[in-house]
Amino acid sequence: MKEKHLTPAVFHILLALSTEERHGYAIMKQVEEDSLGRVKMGPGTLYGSIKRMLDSGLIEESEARIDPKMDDARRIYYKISGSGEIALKDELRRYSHLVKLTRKLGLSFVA
Amino acid sequence: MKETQLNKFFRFLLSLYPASFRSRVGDSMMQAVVDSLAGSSTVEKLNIAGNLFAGAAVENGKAIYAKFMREPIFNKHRIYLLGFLLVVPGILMISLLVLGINPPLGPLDPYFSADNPLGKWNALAVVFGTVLLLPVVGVWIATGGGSKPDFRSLLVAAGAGLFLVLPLIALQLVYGGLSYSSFPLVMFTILWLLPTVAIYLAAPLFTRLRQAEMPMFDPLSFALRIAALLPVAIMWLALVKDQMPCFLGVPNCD
Repeated sequence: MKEKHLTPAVFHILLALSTEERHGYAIMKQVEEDSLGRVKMGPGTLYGSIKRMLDSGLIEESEARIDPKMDDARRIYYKISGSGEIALKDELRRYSHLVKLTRKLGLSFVA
Repeated sequence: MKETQLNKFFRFLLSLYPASFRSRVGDSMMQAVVDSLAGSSTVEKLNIAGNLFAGAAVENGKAIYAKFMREPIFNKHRIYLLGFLLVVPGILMISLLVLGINPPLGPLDPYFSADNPLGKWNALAVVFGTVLLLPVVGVWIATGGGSKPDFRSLLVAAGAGLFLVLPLIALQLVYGGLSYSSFPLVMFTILWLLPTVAIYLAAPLFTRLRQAEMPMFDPLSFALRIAALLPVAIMWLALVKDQMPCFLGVPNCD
């Protein structure tokens, strides 16, 4: 069976949610930080992916609450689901395999 | 807190997303937009606006695909959509012909050219196909894909359409005489059907404008209504302009 890879946006969102529940803006900031500023998601891109991930069960909505680091508005938080964790682990395993392979091939750009 | 003009603008951009999308993540998305706008530069704000607009285009495209194309082949919606796609070019073609402009048909030109013995019949098939399909497609757009039209609105539209045609009928009767053979019944039926469909399609837009509900309109329905409305209006005006000499009793007019 053909293996289904995650899109870069979905991968980064899952990675951002792998450590804790976050609201939309916090996900955008975390993705930017994780990618060293290379991936900047606008709200349109982020929520397009979030909607698809909710529909496919990769993430779930958590309750709305106030973010103590921000103003007193209540924000909807998102959390990674069981199938989301499996998909993220599979993707990380694939990346890990690729890194091992490039090292084995002696490609100099791998740290 | 009073909502700023900037937030209102971004709320409007969010309203361009399909209803199913907004109901699922709309509130959370608006909050993320507000968070992103705080302390951002003008260029960043423009980037956010561009991102939202592009996202709305993508999500609407997906919604249209999901609604019309992903379902079985004998899907009612798909048949109506194909009808719509046939009607709009047909109306444009007829409007241009009535205005005396040869429509640019590109690769289809040989099928309608005067050199082709079937050219005239092909053109007639487009005209009659368009006129026959128009009310069916109009009802479909106006009911948002449902099968039951709003008969009260349809009657009001038919009445308003008749009101527009009555002066033209009066002109024909005054200047063209009362002879049954010289009365262009088919022409008046078309001139009555076109504004009926147009008014039926336009009525909800005016109602929403009056009730200041524009920010939450359904973009798909809005786009389809406008796309159908404009050519219908052009065709009606072109027909009236073309036939006006006949209504005024100019001899040898056709």
